Amino acid sequence: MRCGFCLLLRHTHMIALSLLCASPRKRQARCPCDGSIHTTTLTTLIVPKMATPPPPHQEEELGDIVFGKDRNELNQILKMASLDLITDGIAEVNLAAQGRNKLAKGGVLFGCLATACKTLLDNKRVGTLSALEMEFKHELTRKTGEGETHQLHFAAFLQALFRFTWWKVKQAKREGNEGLAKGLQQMLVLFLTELLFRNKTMQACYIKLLAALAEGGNLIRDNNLPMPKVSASFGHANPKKKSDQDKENDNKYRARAIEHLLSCVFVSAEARHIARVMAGRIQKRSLLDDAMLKIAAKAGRNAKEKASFGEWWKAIYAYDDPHASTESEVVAHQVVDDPDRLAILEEILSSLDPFVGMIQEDGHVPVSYLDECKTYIDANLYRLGPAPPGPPPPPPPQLEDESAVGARHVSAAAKQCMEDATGPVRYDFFGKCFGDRNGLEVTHHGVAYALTATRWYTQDWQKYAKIGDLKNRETWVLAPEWGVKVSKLTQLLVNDGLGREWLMAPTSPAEKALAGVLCSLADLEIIGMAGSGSFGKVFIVRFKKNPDAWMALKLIAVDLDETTSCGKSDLKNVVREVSAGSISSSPHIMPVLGHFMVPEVELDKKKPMTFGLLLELAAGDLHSIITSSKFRALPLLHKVQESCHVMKQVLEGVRQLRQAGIGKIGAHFDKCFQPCADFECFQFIVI
Amino acid sequence: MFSVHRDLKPNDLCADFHGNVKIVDFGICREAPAADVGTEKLTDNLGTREYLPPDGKSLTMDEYAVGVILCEIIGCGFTPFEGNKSLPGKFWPEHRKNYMKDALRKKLGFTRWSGFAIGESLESIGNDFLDVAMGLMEPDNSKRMGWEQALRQLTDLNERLRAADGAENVEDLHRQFGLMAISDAGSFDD
Repeated sequence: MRCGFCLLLRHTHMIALSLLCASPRKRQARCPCDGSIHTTTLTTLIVPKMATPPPPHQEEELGDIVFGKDRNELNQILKMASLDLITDGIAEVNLAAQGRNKLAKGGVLFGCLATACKTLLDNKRVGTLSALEMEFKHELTRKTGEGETHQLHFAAFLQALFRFTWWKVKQAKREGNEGLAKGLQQMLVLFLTELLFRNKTMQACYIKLLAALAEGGNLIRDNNLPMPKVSASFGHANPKKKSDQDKENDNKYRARAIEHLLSCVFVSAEARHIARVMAGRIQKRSLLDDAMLKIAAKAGRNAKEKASFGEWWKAIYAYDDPHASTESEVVAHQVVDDPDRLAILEEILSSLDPFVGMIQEDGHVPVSYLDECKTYIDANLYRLGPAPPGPPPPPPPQLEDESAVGARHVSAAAKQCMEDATGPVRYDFFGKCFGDRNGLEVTHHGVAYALTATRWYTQDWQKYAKIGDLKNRETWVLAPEWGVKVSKLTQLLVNDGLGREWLMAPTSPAEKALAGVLCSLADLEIIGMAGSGSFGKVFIVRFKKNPDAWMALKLIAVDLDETTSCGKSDLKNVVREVSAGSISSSPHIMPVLGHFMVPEVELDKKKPMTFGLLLELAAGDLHSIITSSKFRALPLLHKVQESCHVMKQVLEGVRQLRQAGIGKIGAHFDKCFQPCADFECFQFIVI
Repeated sequence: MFSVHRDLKPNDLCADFHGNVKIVDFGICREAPAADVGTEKLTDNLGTREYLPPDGKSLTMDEYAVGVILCEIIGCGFTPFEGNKSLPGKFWPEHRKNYMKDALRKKLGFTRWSGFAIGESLESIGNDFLDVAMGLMEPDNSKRMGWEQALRQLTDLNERLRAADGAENVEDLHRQFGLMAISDAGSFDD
C-alpha cells in the first residue's frame, strides 16, 4: 500500500494541475517531465458553474479622523483598551521570551500594539486613529519587518475596542451616567449598522468602521450633529404650515444632517462625495426629498455587494454629477422619472422611517430591527427592475451548500455575539475549545476565535472559570456541556455569514502568502470559504484555466520546530489528519489530492510551515443533507433505504481504515520530510 | 492493529455529487492492538458528546457513533439523546430495549410508519432496522455489535427493502411527494 505522504513529498512535478487543467473528466494526463501517463483518483470535479464573484472591496483612502475637542470619554476608552492590551501584550511577550508560549508571534503583535498605544497616550495624541495605526505599523515594521500586515492585526484591535466600548456603555449605565452611555451607544449603533448592512467586513473596513464610530460619537458628543433634531421632523415635516424661509432652512438643515449621516456611515471618499451630492440635491429641488436620499444610502450600500444593483448605484451617483456619462445619466432619469419605480422606492423607503427615527429618539436601535430592515430592503430592491443597460448581472451561485459562497444574512447568533460582548478575552481561555488543540492551533481560527470570544465572555464561562483553569483536564471534565456549547457556537459562527466574512481575512502572513501564491503560480483562484477545520481554514478554489474544475483547499499550519514537544505534537497531528486518509485506497475515505508549501516559510524551520492540502470537493456533509427539506420530506421507507446506503459506505470506510493501520505514519512522515529542503517550489502530487 | 476514528459524525461524512459518502478528518484517529478491542479504553477525552458511548472511550466507539448516525439520518438530524442527558442512564438497565425502541419510535417518527400503507412486511424491516441501530448503540462495549455484523444486516435490510419497494412503488412515491431520488446530483440543496 502506498503512503500518501511519501508521494506527496517525493514528487516534484505539478502533475495534478496539469491533469486537472487539461481535462478533469478524463482523469489522465501526460507528465510534463517524462511524458508518462498519469491517472488521477479524482472522481468528481465538475460542479455547476458559479458566477464570477464580485471583485474584492477596494480600499479607499481614509482621512484623518479626529475625535473632537472633548476627547475625554474616547480617550478613556482607548486608554482602558490599550492598558489591557499592554498587559496582555507584555504577558505574551514575556512568555514568548521564555520559550513557553508558542504564540510568540501573537505576543509580538500585541506588544507592538501596546507600545503604539502607550506612545500615543504618552504623547497625548490618542484622538487620531490613523496616527495609532501608523504608530502600530511603525512598531510592527521595526520589530518584525512585516509592517505590511499591520491592517490585519489592527482590525483585531478594533474588535477589542468595540468590546471595550460596549462594556463602557454598560458601566456608564450602571453608574447612572446616561449622557456618556447614550453617546457611546450612539457610536455603537453606527458601528453595528455598518456591520449589519455591510457584509464586506474585510480588514480595511474595520478601520472605516471605527472611523465612523469615532466621527459619529464625536459629532453627537459635541452636539453639533443635527441628526437628533432632524429626526423629529425627518419625513414628517408639513410644508403647508411653514413659510418659504422655514422650508429653505429646513432643507439646508436636512442637507447638513444627511451629509453628516452619510459621511458617518459611508466613510469612504466616494461615499462622502455622494453625501455631498445628495445633500446638494435637497437644496436644489425636492424631487425625491429625504426618501430618495435614504434609498440612495441603502441602495448604495447594497450596491457594493449586489452586482445587479451596481448600475443603479452609478446612475444615482451620476444624476447630479456633471462629469457623468450620458448612459449613466439616462439610466438615472429612467429610474427616477418612472412613476412605477418611484412608487416602489417610496414603499421601500417608508420602511426606513422608523430606522431613522429610532436612532434619534433614544440613541439606540435594536439589532433585530436593523436585521429586519435589511432583509426587507434586500428583498424589495430587486423589484425596481428592469435591469439597467449594460452587461447582464451574473447569475447567483449554484453551489449546494450556501455556506460555501457566503450567505447574506446575519444570524441571531452573531447579533447575540455582539450583544453579549462585555470585556477582554484572552486566547488561553480557549485551550480546550477545539478538542486537544494548543494555543497555536487555536489562533489559526483567527477571527472566529475573536467572535466566539465575545460570546463566551458571559456568565457561563465566568461560572466555569471559578472552577479553575479552563485549560486543564479537570475543568474540561467538570464542564463538558460548556465545551459542547463552545464547539457548537464556533461552528455556528463559521457557518454564519458575518462570522465567515470575518474569517475570510487571512489570519497569518503564511496564509496570506499562500493565498497569493495560489493565485499567481498555481493558477488557482480562491473563490470561497467552506469553513474551518481543526487545523485551519478550508477554501474552495477554482482552476483559472478550467473554471468548471473546483476543489477544496485545506490550509494547515504546523510548527516545525521539533525541539519542543508542541512542535512534535503538531507534526503528529498533521500527519494523522492527512495521512490516515491518504494511506488507504478506500473509495469511502476522502483522499488528499495534493499539497502546497510556502517556500520562504519552508526554508526557515523556525517559523510555522503552512501546507495547503487539496481535497476533493464534496457536495456537502451528511448533516446538511439529512437536515435539508428534501430529505425531511422523504417517506420513511426511503430514509431507511438511504440510511442503509450511507451506513454501508461508512462501515466499509471504517473497515478499510482499520485495516490500513496508522501506526507508522509518523515514521513515514519523518522519513519523507527530509527531501522537502531540496524542493524548488511547490509540489502537486496525485495519489 | 486497530484504528479508531473517534469522531465519526455526520459533519465528518462528506457526500460527493454522486451520493457517495466519504469519511474525512482523521485528526484524532488513534491506533491500538486489536487484542484490546472490548477491553481497552482510550484515555483521551475527545470526541463529540452526542456520539460518545456511555461507557467511555472504548475502541468500539466508532460503532456506537454509527448507531447514533443511523438514528440521526432517520430522525432528520435529531440524535437519540440530544438534549436529554438523563436518557442514557435511565434507560440503559434491563428494560432499556423496549424503552429505547419506544423512545426511538416516538422521536424518530416511526409511529407514522403504517401511515404510508406500504405493506405489513416493512413493519418488520423497521424493527430490524431499529435492532441494528440499538445493537450498535449497546452500552456494554463487549456486547456491542461489530461492524461486520452491522454491515451484513444493513446489506440484508437493503435487499429486503429493494424487494419490497418495487420500481412502480418508487415512482408512485416520488410522484406523490414530488421528490427526486436523493442520490441525484444536486438534490441536496434546500
